[in-house]
Amino acid sequence: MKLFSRSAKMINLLILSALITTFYSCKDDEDEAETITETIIVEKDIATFQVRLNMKQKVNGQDLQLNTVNRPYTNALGQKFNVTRLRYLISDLTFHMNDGNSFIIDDYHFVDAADSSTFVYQPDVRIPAGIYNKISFKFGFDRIDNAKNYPELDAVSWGWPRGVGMTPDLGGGYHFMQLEGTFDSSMTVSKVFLTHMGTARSIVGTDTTFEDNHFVAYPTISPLTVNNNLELDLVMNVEQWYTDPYDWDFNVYRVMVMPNYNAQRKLNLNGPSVFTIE
Amino acid sequence: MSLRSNKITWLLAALLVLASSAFNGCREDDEDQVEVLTPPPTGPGTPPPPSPYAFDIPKHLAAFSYNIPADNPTTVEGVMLGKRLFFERRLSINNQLSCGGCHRPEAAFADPGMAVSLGAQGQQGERNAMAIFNVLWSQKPTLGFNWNRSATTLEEQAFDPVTHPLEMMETWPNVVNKLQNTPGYPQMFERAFGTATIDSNLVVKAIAQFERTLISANSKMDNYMLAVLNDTSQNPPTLNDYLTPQEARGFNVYVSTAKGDCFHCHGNVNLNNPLWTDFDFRNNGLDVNPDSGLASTTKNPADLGKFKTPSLRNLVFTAPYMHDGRFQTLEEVVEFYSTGVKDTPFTDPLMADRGTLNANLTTQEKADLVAFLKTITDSTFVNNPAFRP
Repeated sequence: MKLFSRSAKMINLLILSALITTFYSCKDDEDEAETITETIIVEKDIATFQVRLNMKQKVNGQDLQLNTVNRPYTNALGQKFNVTRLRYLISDLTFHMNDGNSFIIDDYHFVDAADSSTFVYQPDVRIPAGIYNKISFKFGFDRIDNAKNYPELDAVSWGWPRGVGMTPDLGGGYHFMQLEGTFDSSMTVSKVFLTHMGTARSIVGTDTTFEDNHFVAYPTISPLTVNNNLELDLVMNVEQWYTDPYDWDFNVYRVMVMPNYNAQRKLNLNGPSVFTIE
Repeated sequence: MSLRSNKITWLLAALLVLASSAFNGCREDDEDQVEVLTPPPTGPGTPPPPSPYAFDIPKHLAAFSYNIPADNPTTVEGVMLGKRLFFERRLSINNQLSCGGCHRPEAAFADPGMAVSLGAQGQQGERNAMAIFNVLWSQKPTLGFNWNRSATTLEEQAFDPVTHPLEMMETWPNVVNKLQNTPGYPQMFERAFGTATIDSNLVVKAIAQFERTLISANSKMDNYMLAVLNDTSQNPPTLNDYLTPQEARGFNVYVSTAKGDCFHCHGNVNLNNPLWTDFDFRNNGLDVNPDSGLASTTKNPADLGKFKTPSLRNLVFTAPYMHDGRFQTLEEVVEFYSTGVKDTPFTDPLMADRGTLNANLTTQEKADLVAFLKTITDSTFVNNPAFRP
C-alpha cells in the first residue's frame, strides 16, 4: 500500500528541516533561538484541516430503514426486498489534486447501519489545504491490508474464511460488506438473501486462486477548495448494488454468495456506482 | 472508527518529541520548574484512595478494546466489595437469594440444570440465567445486556433483579438499609468509594466491577491461539497439534459455510476471536410464535424472537441452553440447528446462508461439532477461588 502521497511528504520534509535547525541551534547562542521560531512558523503555513464523513445509507433516495415488517424496496428486476442488516468497510480515503498528486489517509472505517456511533468517520489525519478535484476510497481492503489483523473487526464477526486445517478456504481476511434481508419470491424455501462480499475465490479445474476483490470508488464531486474543516455526506445507495452493469436476481444470488465467484465479481463491478457525495 | 495509526501522524509525533527534547536540552534550569504532583490530603478520618485493579488479560485478548465507565473505575477495593455483594443474600426480600444463587461460579455463573431460575420465594423466572464471563468486552451500548437488551450497561443490569417480582423481590431502600446496618459494609464502601453512606448506585457499581474481573480464556482452543501468537518458528502450530481428529473435524463443521456456518454469529472463523460471540441479537428460528425477545425492548415487531448471541465458551458447565433453557444437552442444540430451525418471517437470514435453514448434518458431523464445542472449556475459570464466595 502507498503510505504517503507526495503532498504528505512535502509536509514532513518541511517539519524535518525545522527540526534540523532546532538541533543545530542548541549548540549556539540565543540569537538563533529566534530562527527556531521563524522555522516553526513555516510549518504553520501549511494548513491542514479535519475531514468528517457522515456515512449515510439510502435506498431509492430515502433513508434506509432496517428491519421493516414489509418489503419496501425494489431492485432493478422489480423484486421487492427489505434489509435486516447492513455492515460495510471502506479504507484508504484519498484526496486527489489537479496536478496528479494525492493525499491518502491510510486508515479504515467500519459502518454498521444499526449502530449510529459508526456513522461518523473522522480520521485522525488532517488533509492539507488545496484544491481537490476527486475523492476516492477503497471498498473493503486491498490485498495487503486484508492480510493484517484487526481485533476490532474480529470482535464483530467480520472474518472471511481463510481455511484453517481442513476448512474451506475462501481466501481469508475480512468481509467487505454484509447486506442481508428478505425478498418476495415464489420459492418455497426461505426468502432470505445474504449479499456478503470479500475476496473472490476462483476454481478452474484443479486450480484455486483468490482475487483481490476490493474496488476503488470515485464518488463525483465538484472541485473542492479545502481551506477549512471539511464535512461531507458519503451515501451508500443500496439499490445500486443490484444494477449497473449487472441486474442482480435474488433468486439466483440469494445465499452462498461468499464462495460464488460470479457473484463476487458482479458485486465488484456494480459497486463503483453505489456511492455518492452529498 | 480510526484504529490504524497513520505513519504521518507517528512521524509527526516522533519529530515533535525530538523537538521538545531539543528545546529542553537548551534550558538547564528546567528541573526547578517541574510541577510536583502531591497526593490528596489524608488524615485520620480520610481513607486512602482505592487502588486501581490490574486486569490479568491474556495475550490473545489483549488487543480487544473495552470501555470501563469513567465514573466507575475498577479498583481492588471495589472488586472485593462487589464480590461480597454478588454473593450477598440480603439483596433479596427474605435474605435467601443472592446474585450468585442463580449465577453460580461452578457453572460459569449460569444456573446449572435450571431452565429458568427460581426466585427468592421459589417462583419461576422468565428466562434462563445467562452465564457471566468476559463481560469486560461486552460494553457496547447498542448491544447492552440481558437476553433482550433490557439494560444498557453492566451497572444498569444489576438494578433490576433486586426488585423483580420473579427474582429477589426486594426494594432498594430495604437493601440499602440492611447493608448500612451490617457490620463491615460501611467500611468497605468507604474504602471502595470514599463514603460509608451506602446507596443503590454504589451497590451496582461494585457488583459491575467484580463482574468485569470474570475473565475466562484458558481452554484447549485458547492454548492453540496463544501458541500461534507466540510462535516465531517457520512451522507454526496447527489445529491438529491441539485438537483430536474428531474435534478438528468439528471445527470444520463450525466454519464451513455449507455445513454449520456458525462463525457468522459466534465468530472466530480465522481463530482470532476468543470471545466466541459478537454479542449481537438474532432470531435463530426456534419458534413460529416466538417469545418477544428484543422486541420487548425496541417495540419493533421485526425484533420478535431475537435474543443475545451467547458465547460458545464453557458450554459444558452452562446447560440447559437457549433463552428458555429448552435444550438439556449440546446434542439437542446441534440437532435443532441440523433439523429443527423454523422458517418464520423473522428468522435471521444468516440461518439460511447454506441454502437451507437446517444444516442437515450427518450423525458423524453432529458428534464432531459437539466434540469441538467442548474444546472451549475453561476449567480453571470455574474453579478459580477468586471468583468464589
